[in-house]
Order: sequence, then structure tokens, then C-alpha cells
Amino acid sequence: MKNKQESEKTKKNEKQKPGKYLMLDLARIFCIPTQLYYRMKREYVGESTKIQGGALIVANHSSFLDPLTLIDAFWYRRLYFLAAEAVMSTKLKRFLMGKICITIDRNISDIEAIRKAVSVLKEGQCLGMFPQGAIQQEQEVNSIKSGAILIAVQAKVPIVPVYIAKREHWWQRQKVVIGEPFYYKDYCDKIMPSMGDIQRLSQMLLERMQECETKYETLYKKK
Amino acid sequence: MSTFETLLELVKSVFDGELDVTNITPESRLIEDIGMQSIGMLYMAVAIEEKFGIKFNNDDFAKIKTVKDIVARIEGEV
Repeated sequence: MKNKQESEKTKKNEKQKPGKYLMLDLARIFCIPTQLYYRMKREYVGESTKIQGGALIVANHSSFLDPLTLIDAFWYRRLYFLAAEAVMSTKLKRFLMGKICITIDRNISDIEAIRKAVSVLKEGQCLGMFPQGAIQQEQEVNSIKSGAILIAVQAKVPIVPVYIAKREHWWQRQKVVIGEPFYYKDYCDKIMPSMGDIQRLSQMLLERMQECETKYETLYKKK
Repeated sequence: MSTFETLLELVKSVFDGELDVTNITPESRLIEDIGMQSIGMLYMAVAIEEKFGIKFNNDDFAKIKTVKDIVARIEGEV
């Protein structure tokens, strides 16, 4: 019932501003060839269900192509991204990604970016982010920043953990493991969680991401 | 209750015993004296926005250094 309401809310928002999602849709069209090239294999921790309504999608970050992988993995939804301001270094990048990405300045406490991210989620859209902060050399998910929880708590949306496996050879299929949605309210009943709760929930989210990684290793590394 | 006292109550609930509010004075510096980290500052700002109905922008973070600055920002807009 709740999902149906959220879905209707998303559709209503889409009707209100035609053309608002043009760049997001173009990004999805652009990703069709990558879909064919990657031949993506999606694995799930728990049930394989499609996300409805606002959701924060968090993934490990080991390649600059990870946003495209997420667009492919969630092909049925439009995806905004939270990206570092440094990514928008040229006018062309700003033009191409400006409508898709919410830029965040990592050098300051960027409250305006957080507010934009929360508003996108409250509209019933999906937002992808990489809580490790920057592209990591190693594949293991060892630590994440608490910003993801902060955004999800403000927007009151579930977090979907994702593990993007690194392709070792160009001919290999791209594999992703999608975890079960993480609802912070299941673990914290306060209206305004304390900073201690945020840290605790962040640790739980990290464990969920590691669970996805373990699932990938169980399925593909031990063969 | 003064704005400063309300703010202290808010700090107490947001940081839930992690910070010792008895040592906080209007002159206390947020990072150096109180020991707030960037994520804590952001969360505190969000809590202040909800409580006092104001909106911070990124420039405010550059200007606000002490508790007194936050109080002035709240009182200037409320």
C-alpha cells in the first residue's frame, strides 16, 4: 500500500515538470550499449524486488564507471547522483552531469548539497552515492562516511546497499550484488536520532555492504 | 529560556552525552573547544534549522566559529 502511494507520488511529480528528467533519461539511453557490453548479472541478498519510491542507493567505489553500472543495475529507475564538486572540473562535464548530479564540496560542511539530496529523495526519486568518498584502490569495503545515514534520516527513505564487483577481464560480465533495503527506523525509533545513533547506524550500513561483498565472494570467488 | 540555553539543550539531545555541555560557554569554539567534527556540525545545523525554523547556507559555515556566532545567526533571523 505504502509502495503504491510512493509510486503514485513519483508519477505525479513527473507529470508536473515535463523535460525535468531529460538528462536523466538520456543517461539511461546512453547506458543501453553498456548494458549490452557488460551483460550485467544481478545477485540479491534476500528477495529480488524492484525499488519503488524514494531510495538512497549506496555502493562501493572502485572505478569511474561505477555510476554507469548503477544506472544499468537499476535500469527501471531514474538515478540522481551525489558527486564531488571536483568531478565537474570542465564546462562540458558540468553541462553533461549538471542535471544528473548534486555536487558536494568535500572541503566544507556542504549543507546546501545535503538539502538538495534530501529534497530529491522526498520527491520520490532515487539517489546514488558512494559513501567511501573517493575511488578506492582495494575492492574490500572497510569504511564509509556517515553522510549517507544523515541524508536517509532526513529524507526518511530506505538505503539500498550495493556491491559492484570489479571486472578482471574485458570479456567478463559485470556482476553486482544488491542488498536488502535498510530502514533506519527498524533500528532507531527516535524522531531525531542522536549523533551516536548516526554512527551506530552507519556501522550497520557498512555491515550490510560487507554482506553484499561476502555474497559475491561466496558465489564467484570460491568456484 | 534564552536562545543560548535552548541551543545547549539541543546540543545535549543531538550529541546524547557524547559532549560535556557543562563546559560550553558562548565563547567556546565549535571545533577546537567542543570537538565537533564536520558531520556533527552538519547534523547540528539540521537540528537548529528544524528547531528554530531558519536556513543555513554554506557561507554561514565559514563565518560561524563559536557558539556565540550561532546564537547571533539564530537571533538575527528569528
